[in-house]
Formats: sequence, C-alpha cells, structure tokens
Amino acid sequence: MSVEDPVLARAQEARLDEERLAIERAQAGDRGALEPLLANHAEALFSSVLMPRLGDRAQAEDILKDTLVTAIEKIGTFEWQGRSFFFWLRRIALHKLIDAHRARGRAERLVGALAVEAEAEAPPAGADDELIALEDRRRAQSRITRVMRDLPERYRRAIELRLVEDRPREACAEAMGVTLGNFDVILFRAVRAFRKVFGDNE
Amino acid sequence: MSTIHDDDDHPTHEEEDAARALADALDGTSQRADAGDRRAASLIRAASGKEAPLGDLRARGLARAAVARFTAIRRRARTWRLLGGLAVAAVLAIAIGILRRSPPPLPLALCSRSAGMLVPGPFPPGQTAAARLDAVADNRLDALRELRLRRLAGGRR
Repeated sequence: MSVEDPVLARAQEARLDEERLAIERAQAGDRGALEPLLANHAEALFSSVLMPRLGDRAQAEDILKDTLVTAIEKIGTFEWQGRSFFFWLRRIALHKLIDAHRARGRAERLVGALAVEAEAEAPPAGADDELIALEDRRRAQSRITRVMRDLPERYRRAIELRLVEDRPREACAEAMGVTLGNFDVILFRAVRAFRKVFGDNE
Repeated sequence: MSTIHDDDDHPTHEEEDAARALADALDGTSQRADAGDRRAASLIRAASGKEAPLGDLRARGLARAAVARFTAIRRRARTWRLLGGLAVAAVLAIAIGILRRSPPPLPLALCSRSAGMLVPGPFPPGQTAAARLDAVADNRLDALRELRLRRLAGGRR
C-alpha cells in the first residue's frame, strides 16, 4: 500500500510524523495532545469500521466515544510501528463492537467474524489512515456481499438498487417491473432474509 | 446455493405495514420501522459508503468529550486513591495509638513484692537461712490461698 506519487508520499510522511509527535507528547503525559488526532480519525472509525458492522448510528457513536476514551487511557502501551495510529484505534473499536454484540446476545457467527477482522494482519509500515480505512470498508463490504450471495436473485436486486446504489423507490420499482407497494414488500422481505443470513436475529 | 427462498406469497396487512414503515424509514420520513430492519439497511448502506458521515463538527466534539471524560476519570481515580490513602493512614494511626497506650496497672495481688520486709536485717544470731526462706515461702503460700479464695468469692483483686 505504498503511494507512488512523490508529492502524496511526502504529504503522507508528514502526516505520520505529525501523528508520531502527538503520540509522544501524549505518552509523556499531555493527553490533550491526542484530541486533534482522535478528531481526525473519528470519521473513518465511524464510517468505515463501526457503521458497516453495526448499522445503528447512536450505538456507533457510543462505541466510538468509548474507543476514544480507551485510546487515551492506553496510549502508554502504544508502540509506534511506522504506520498510522488508526490501525490501533480500529482494533480497539472492533473489540468494543464484539463486546457490544455479545452483550446484546447476537449470533456467535457474527461475533466470530468480527473477532477474525479485529485480528487482521497489520498493514505495512507507512500505511496511512485512509488506506487502512479503505481496506476496512472493503472487508465489511465483502462480508455483506457474501451474505447477499445467499439471497434469492430478486431480493439481492432490491437491496442493490435501493441500499447499495441508493436509487429512489420509484426508480427501483420501475427497474424491477413491479408496483411501488410490491417493491416495498420485496425490499422488506429481502432485508429480513439478509438479517437471517447475516446472523442479526435480535 | 441460496439458503433463503423467494417468498411470492401475497403479503399480509402486517407485512405491508412493516414494509411501508421500512420504506419511510429509508426515506427518512419516519422512525416507526423495526429497529433491526433499520439497522440492517443502515449496515448495507454504510458498507457501500452511502450512509451519512459523522461530520467534522461531531468528530471534534466526540474527541473533546473523550479527553474530558478521561480527565474526569483520572481525577476521580486520584480522589479515590487519596481518600484510600487517608483511610489507611487513619487506621494505622489508631492502631499505633492503641499499641502505644500504657497498659493498666496489674492487680495488687499479682504484683511482685519484695521479700526484704519479711526478713529485714540485721538477722538475729539464732535465725538460720532456712528459717528465712521458710518465712518467705509461708508468706507467698498465704498470699496464694488468699488470692484463690478471693477469686472463688468473685473478688477482682
């Protein structure tokens, strides 16, 4: 995951240097030095790590807040390895997510899949947050794609049109050649089927 | 292989209502849809990058709140540590005070007494050392008997 463009590479290097310095200050006792760093990574944690695995904004924000507090608490244990601090934050977030899923009694299959993702191989040195977040979203997406493969064609199509491509209901109904009311029912059944296969039977 | 079958049955009224609620929730016009259905839809949307972002302002707010919460937790921990230290110090002070306090005087009957008064010198020429020892032993036996009798009678001394 190296950056080819020398200008981008320098910018990435500068960003990593900035991160390293902020972390060193925090480890020396100035925990407030982490605030801008955490603010920079919060969006990617929310959009690429938590929401694609949770789907609940309020809960995702709660877990994100807990993740940030834990990161501040444990910053003394963090060891700089030349890659973005984001990977470390992501791991904390995924463990918090696993705890939340367990507490809510979600399927072991779902929890197990998350545990595997939490222990995913670390990206190479020099990897920045954007690349790691992108890779993370890709992982979440492929998990959803795998679930979608188990759905009947019509359900899969309804989900793709409405939720993946984000088309308006009317356009989706037209594309599928059904009435608006029928499309709503097909999508509803598709979402229920998705939940069943995904392991979210709460 | 598909594990879910396409359901072509005519929907019930409840199903139509739930489907409509989900459609409204996805349009953002109502929140009455089942929470699990909404969550699954958001999850799929988020994985495709279609879910609304957190936003810069909210991100900064959460980071600020996290630092504030950490500071509060640390302050609380310090207060508890300080209170714990004070409590331990107080217990130690009390224990040391108790240990250092001088013990109450022994009952007179248990105090050692000098035998000098029983056989004061100068010794009479006819008194032998054995006679002096007998005098002391008699006195001690008397005292022991008296002590036992007092205990039997419920006396404290």
